[in-house]
Amino acid sequence: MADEGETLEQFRRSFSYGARSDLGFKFLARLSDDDAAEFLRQLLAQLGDAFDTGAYERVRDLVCDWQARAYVGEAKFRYDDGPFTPVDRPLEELAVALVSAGGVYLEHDDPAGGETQEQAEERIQEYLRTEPVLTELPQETATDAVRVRHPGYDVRGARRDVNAVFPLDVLRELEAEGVIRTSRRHYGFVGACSQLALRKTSAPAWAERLAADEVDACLLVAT
Amino acid sequence: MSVGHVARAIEAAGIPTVAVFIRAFRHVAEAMTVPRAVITPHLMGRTVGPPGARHRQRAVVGAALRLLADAEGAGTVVELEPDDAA
Repeated sequence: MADEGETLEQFRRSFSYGARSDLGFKFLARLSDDDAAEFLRQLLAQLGDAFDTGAYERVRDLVCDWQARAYVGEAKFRYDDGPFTPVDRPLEELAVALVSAGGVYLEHDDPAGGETQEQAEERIQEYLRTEPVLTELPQETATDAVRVRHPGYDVRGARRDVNAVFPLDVLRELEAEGVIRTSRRHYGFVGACSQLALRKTSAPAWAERLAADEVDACLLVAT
Repeated sequence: MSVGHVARAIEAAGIPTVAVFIRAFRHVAEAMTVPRAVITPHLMGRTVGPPGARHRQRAVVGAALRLLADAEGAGTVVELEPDDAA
């Protein structure tokens, strides 16, 4: 696979939509060569320990630390203040809606007409230029019917258990326990989209839709 | 970033919001003054918790709901430690 004489930089970048594309490790492209080498050293050391101890969660936590380190930086959008609406009732009276940026949808409401995960990843640049589509998932949706497709993150975890990015089962458990109420509809979109179109057009329109659906409070999940 | 825009728009429409981000995007949530944000120590694509880890997923949603009720102004951020969410 690798060309003769491949540099560490080429190797790092190959995980981000390249020959070795793996969105769980695309952050390697953002590290310096020195940091990437140090990450790989620590990863192998932790793996070696885990073979004996079984403490594989430490391997995961190490990857998590380096992922966070890779993304540290200046934010593109900066606001000195923001809107704030106080909660004026007890939680148990609130109809809570989920809004997930994790690309969740139902088969009959597929915003990209049967596109595969691989095809979506190939179109990442097009996604980033396009206005996003809001999908609707009724409150009673069985979570194994929820599909996940997103060109910007590793969807394997969400496909194993969609609650990782769309905690509908968790919300329903809390409703059964009387902690909250759940909205009759929940929502999804692909967070990898045109940020300008989202900010100017989609987000305000979606807010109106939620208000029309009599949503009292909203739990959003970023991916 | 996307969730920041959406949370701000929904909040501006009069609906209180709380948003969950992974630690890698804490700086984005803070820069955008997201109304209320819970930061989790999880991998990208497992924001609320690892697949099958219902106890941790519940802890994260529980923390988000507490923040929803308790926050007193925009830009309130709570970061969960691995143990908080375990």
